[in-house]
Amino acid sequence: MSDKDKLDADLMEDDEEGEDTQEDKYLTFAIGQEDFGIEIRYVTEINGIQGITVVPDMPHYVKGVINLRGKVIPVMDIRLRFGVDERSYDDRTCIIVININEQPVGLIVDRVLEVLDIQKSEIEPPPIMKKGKSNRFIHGMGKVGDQVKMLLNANKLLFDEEEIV
Amino acid sequence: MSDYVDEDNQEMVRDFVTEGRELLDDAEPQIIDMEKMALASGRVDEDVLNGIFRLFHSLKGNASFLDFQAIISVTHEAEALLDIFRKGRAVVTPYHADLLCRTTDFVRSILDVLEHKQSDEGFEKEASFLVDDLKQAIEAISSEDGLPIQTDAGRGEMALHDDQGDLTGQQAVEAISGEAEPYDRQQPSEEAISTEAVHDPDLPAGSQPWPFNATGPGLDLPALEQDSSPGDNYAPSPNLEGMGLRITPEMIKTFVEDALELCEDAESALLSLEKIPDKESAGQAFRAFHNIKGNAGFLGYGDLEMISHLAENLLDRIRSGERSCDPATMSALLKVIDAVRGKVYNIACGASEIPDLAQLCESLKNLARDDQSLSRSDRAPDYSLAEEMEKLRGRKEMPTWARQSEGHPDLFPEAPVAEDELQPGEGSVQASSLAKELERLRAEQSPTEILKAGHLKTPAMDASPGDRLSRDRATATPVDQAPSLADATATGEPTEDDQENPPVLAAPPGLSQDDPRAETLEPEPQDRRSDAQPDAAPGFSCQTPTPGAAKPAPPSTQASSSAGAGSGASGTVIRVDIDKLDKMLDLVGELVIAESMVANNQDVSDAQNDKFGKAVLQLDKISREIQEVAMSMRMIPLAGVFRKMMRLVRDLAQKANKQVDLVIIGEETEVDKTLIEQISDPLVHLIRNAVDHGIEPVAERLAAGKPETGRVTLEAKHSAGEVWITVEDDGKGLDRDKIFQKGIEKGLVRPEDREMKDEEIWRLIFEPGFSTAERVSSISGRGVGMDVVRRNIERLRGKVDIRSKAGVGAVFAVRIPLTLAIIEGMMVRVGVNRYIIPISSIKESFRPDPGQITRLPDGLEIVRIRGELQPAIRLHEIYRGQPRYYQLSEGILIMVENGDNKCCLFVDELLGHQQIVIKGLPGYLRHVKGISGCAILGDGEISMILDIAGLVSSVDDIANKIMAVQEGGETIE
Repeated sequence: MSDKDKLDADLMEDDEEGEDTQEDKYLTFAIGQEDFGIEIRYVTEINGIQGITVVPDMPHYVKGVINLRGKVIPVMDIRLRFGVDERSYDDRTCIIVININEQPVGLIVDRVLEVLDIQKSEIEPPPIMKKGKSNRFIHGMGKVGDQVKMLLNANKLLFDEEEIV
Repeated sequence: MSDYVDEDNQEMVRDFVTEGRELLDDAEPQIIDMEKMALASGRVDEDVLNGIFRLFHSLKGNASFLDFQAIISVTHEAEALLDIFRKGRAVVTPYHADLLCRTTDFVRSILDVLEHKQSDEGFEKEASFLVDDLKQAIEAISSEDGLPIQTDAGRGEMALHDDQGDLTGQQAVEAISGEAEPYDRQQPSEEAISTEAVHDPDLPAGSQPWPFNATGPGLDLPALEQDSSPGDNYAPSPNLEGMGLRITPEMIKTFVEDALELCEDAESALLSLEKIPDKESAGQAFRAFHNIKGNAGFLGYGDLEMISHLAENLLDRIRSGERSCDPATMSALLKVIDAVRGKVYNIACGASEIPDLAQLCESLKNLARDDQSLSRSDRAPDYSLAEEMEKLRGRKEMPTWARQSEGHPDLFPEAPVAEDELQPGEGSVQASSLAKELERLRAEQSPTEILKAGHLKTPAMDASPGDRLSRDRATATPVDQAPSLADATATGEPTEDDQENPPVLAAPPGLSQDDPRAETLEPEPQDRRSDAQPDAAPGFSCQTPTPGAAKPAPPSTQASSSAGAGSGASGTVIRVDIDKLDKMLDLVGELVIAESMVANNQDVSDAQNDKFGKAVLQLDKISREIQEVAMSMRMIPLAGVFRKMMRLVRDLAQKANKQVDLVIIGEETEVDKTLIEQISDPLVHLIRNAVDHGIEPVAERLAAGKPETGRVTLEAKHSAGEVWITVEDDGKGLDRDKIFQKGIEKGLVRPEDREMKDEEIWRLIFEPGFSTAERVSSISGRGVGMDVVRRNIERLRGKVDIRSKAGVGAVFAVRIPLTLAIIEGMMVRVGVNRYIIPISSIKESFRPDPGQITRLPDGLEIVRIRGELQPAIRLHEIYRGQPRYYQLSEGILIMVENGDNKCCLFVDELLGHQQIVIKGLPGYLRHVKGISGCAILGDGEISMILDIAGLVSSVDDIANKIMAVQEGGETIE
């Protein structure tokens, strides 16, 4: 194996590690009293709340679109998506921009908490018993110390449309 | 060529696919042209045939390079078929055209597959069917005219072409002699002579077939027979010219562009190779040279071909690790690049010399030899050339002849001998000596003699016996070397000339450029090919773009292609990634937004600063200009799309058993690239309709007193910021009653609407599933087409208008805005929301008097304006906002128009108009009713752009809704 190949192989490993480290990291945020987490690999940026232009004829949780440096990005109010009561936005309200399938979408959350490392072993499947509207968006319960973070399935969050239909 | 590693191959395959598609796109209209011509006059213009032949041949050549057997086999048979027509032994029938079209289709489908996987496996069966059919067609012809037809006409050439670089001259001779065609009377004798020439070791020094390969006269033969790997003995591939084909200026232009690009590639690869020797760079440089070689050989630039071949050999060794890349090698290779580039530049501007060719070749060969422990190491490396030079020096007329007659003037080593032979002033000397030579040749009737003479007299030039043979065979008579001189002279120049200038073309390019060599032809008109025109100019060269050569393309193509060619010849063309252009357009859009942000900034504009105002104006002007330029960079002529339609019409007409002519007007009209992509589908449907429903069967046409051949006109033009594309037919027109009846059946109209305007009736055919056809044919009748047309056109913010007159024909006029990205918009406010209405759809705006408004019992408000009644739409109801005003008479009504429908939109106020950069709504939101897109305003806010077409057509919905609401007991304010 030539030096170059070796180097390539090393770099490749590094890359994989990079993937790995990203995979167990979650951005946590709060809606009301509950904490949620979303895989960090989906998150592209976090912005403060800004002017939202209403788009007519949308599901109620899609608040409209924002201008993110020249890009028009739809924003979704997580509260409404989860069926929690709406509340007015304040200076802690944030828009988490996530990107799934090349599709950037802003999520409006009460406040952003921190990035947490949650190992797979610490994640338990969501309780199936409990029937709730927003359960289907949760793909696991992450245990961090004595707290539990609900980890979201970003794909379902964006594209699951049962509610609309 | 099988030793390519995968990624090399991939790259080449990609190129092949792109190029192949282009060739096919070119070929199809010409095939149809040919068919038409054949039907009309019973004979086919040779130019057209040659054009098609050339396209198939290029395809075959490219394919054999990559060893795609299926393509090779079918294109080869197609060539054989075309060859028959070319020889005038049969008339083209629609069946033949069909076969050729099938061939193009087949190749196209292979190309589609090749795009994804790198091999054409799996097509063999299909290919063999097609080949069989083609062969049958050929046999059918041959049995008709009773002559045995060699379907292998081109096979010898093919073998040569396939294995170029591997074949020794000897093999080449065998390859061809084995395929000798009985009907070619010249063949046997030529063969004998050439073979003899090769075998004769005692040929005078000057007569070596390939002097640069040999280091001494006596060593020439062993080298030839050795068949070492792609070694020194490189037999240039038979070029197009050798096959009696024409090289168009376009081909040369493309070649020049490609070659310059390849030079860049090779250069950078070499430079990086010099720094860090790796196989990658060597391979890259190798490929570049290889491509140059291939292209050059194709066009008959023997010197380029040879020199790049030598460079290629050297690089091959480096690549395989057989030799290191020392500075000497590198600088030699770089010199080669310089030489190639110089030559290519010269091709572009007329001259064609590689000054130090001999030295370069020699140094390359020395380099190559260095690392080969040769048994023939006793060769004196510098002997042959120096020796030859000496000899040639003593026999002045010979090199002159050689230079002139053989078509590869540059092969002749110019330095150090050249100076004293080739002064421009010596033109007359050369001319006369050449004239004499030709005279003499003509006097000697025996082809054998001539050949021998030619052979002996063209020592330096004679590339290889194989090459020579194929050349001779193609030109049929050895005396024809004169034309090949003409070729040589002309090859260098046509890039200068453009099809747009027939008058210029009429003058021999060589003459107009004061090329002494050109004059040599003047006194020798008899030597031109039999098919040459009587006047000196066009016949002067078979490659000059004579008006005749331009014929294969439909007349209007000339304008468009020449527009491109014209700019290409004088300036330089660079290829830009379309992504970059898109990005640029995006950025320009941002710039426009940013500019209006600055201009509309309250803080500064309030200051009433004169200077600021001026600066803003300036900025506005510049940004608009940038915008225009950015747009224009994405503009492409419609020609490509239009020409595809020729094929379509032909196929459709044949299927429907009708006679239809497609007339194309204005195909040079340029439109945005995205538009091109999206206009194709609707056009196909419109043309299908015209042919299938519009044009009547022949009997019916004759009964109606119309010419039996129907006519479909496809026209494009620019008009007031829009592109108009019309599809017109002279068929029976739309059937009002039938459509109306169908409309009633479908519940789209009520019987009492009988007095509807024609336009409204016609519009019914755009409804999905609307078809008046009694039965569904393979072409149309399902009622999908027009729906597709409307949808696609609307997506482009365009409109379709229909005019039709029973028995006379129908016109479908498609109008599409030129730019898709930027519009003039009127900003309006409704409550807190701002919306944009495209200025183009606004008729007027006014504040109505209460007296103008009538409220229907169903809640719909009607505004009476100048005698017309228009429904009013309250935007706040549609978009669920809280308006400032509820009374129509307090706000503003904007009358908008879509097609012939109008309605009034009720808004709070007008905020002014501005340029708007349209952005699509994020895909996540899907389609939003009543909104066609959005725009970022000067203050960074987003505003929705109203979908006027949707709104206008929703008037009915609103009426229904209002009614429903009222029935529910609510009242509307």
